[in-house]
Amino acid sequence: MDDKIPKCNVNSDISNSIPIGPQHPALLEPEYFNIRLDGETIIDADINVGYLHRGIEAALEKKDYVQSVFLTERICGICSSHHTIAYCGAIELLHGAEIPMRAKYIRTIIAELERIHSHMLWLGVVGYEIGLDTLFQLVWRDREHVMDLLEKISGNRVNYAMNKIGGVRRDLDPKILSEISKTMDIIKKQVIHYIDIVSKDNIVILRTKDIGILSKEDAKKYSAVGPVARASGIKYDVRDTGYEAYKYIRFDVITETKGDVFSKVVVRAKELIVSSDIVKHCVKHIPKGDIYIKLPLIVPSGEVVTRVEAPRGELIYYVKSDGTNKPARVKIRTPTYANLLSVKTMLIGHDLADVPVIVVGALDPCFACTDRVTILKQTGNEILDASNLRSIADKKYN
Amino acid sequence: MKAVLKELGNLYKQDNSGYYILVKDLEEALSVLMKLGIYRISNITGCDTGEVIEVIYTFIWDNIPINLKIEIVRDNPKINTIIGMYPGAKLYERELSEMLGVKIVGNDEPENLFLAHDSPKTPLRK
Repeated sequence: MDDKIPKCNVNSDISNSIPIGPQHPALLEPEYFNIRLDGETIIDADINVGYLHRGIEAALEKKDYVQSVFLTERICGICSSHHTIAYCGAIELLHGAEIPMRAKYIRTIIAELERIHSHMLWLGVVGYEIGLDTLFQLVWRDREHVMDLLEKISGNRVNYAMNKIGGVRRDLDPKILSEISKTMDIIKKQVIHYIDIVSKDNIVILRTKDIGILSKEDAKKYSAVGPVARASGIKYDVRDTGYEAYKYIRFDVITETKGDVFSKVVVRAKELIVSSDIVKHCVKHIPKGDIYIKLPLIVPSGEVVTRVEAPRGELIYYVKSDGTNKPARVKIRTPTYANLLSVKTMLIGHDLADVPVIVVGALDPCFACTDRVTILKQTGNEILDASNLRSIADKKYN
Repeated sequence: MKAVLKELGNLYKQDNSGYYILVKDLEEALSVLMKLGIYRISNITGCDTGEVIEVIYTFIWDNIPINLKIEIVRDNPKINTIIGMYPGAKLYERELSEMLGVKIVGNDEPENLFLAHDSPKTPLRK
């Protein structure tokens, strides 16, 4: 029987190049990977970003400080409040102002709720990518508890618009605080259950253990941040610096040593428990008082670098003021951008089928953040603005 | 720590957000940072002030940012790459070159990182 099957000539010297993206079912955002293969094994990888480049850094220079907070919030749909915490924090530092303690606690609660829903979103997607759809459905069901909570607090599921320069926009009443506390109990119970699943389930172990290893040396070399660095044994968490209310909270920084996708799953899953504990602590100890202070619209000249720990890692804002009501320069360094260099190291030596697991499972990428920055298309001397683009679209489709 | 940093150049600002130092010789300053065991480069910011281009390198030491600023001319700006010492700076240098037109000797890639091929060149120039 076997003789009848035509044999395929395989020449291992020939390598193939497989393009993945910019649009691909395995990728949730547009990015491009050019993977070179020897048989099934990845020997080289080229990553191209920029498909979501919106010119936000240039746009920020044309908005005043109040307007620009709303723009920074829209850089990313998942870690939107972390962007505003960093940006408002920078402006408050330029003013030399200290925001009220209650505002600090509210910011911390929202930030940690955001981390919980972001990590749960990611845990679900990992389940989906490795073929464990039950995990995906269960985790996303529980994520809705947090999303409902955020909607109750702010009226929105994505851009909460909670932070403003000098504090926060909305107060949390005792009723919602007790609801937050109750939801955290549910989340913690469920997450412990999921950690039990992922540490024992064969599908998870086979598809993530020893896959996409990033050694501690490489993580240091490429300055990896967030859970990617922590899974490789680097204890690096910006929350340790004590911004907002983290100064008054004791929490563990979760690290693992191996650096494979499984370690990253464990780090993020355990961080869910840490985050739910932080939220509960904040709810219990939230002080009474004002939720914002009024700051002038003109910001004193100067420059400042602020950092926050977004769900994916260290997020940096550099803000330079020239003493007017508009920033002179805003530079944003997002976590996925910092981790991009490490991806190549994680991919090489593994199979093509591991690409989605490594890219999504290990990196938890957010390319909307990475690309940030709307350069509109320039034809001749004419720069097309939104109304021009609209009329072109109307002509084309009507 | 402060004494070491003062040797690097003009320490013009120090607060909760870190140290800000204006340096003349970047390579010399970087070799001092390497000796101190600072491996993490977190950001490179380019800023066109209208008179000069400021390039701010953000390193992290013990969870504290150390910002080294150099000033370069606006006409045909050129700096040497630092990826020999800090490989993590590769993409940040390419972004700086793309957005502000600063030539990075040793880290020249013809392809754009973020901008489309028909985007306006050096969009963050004043």
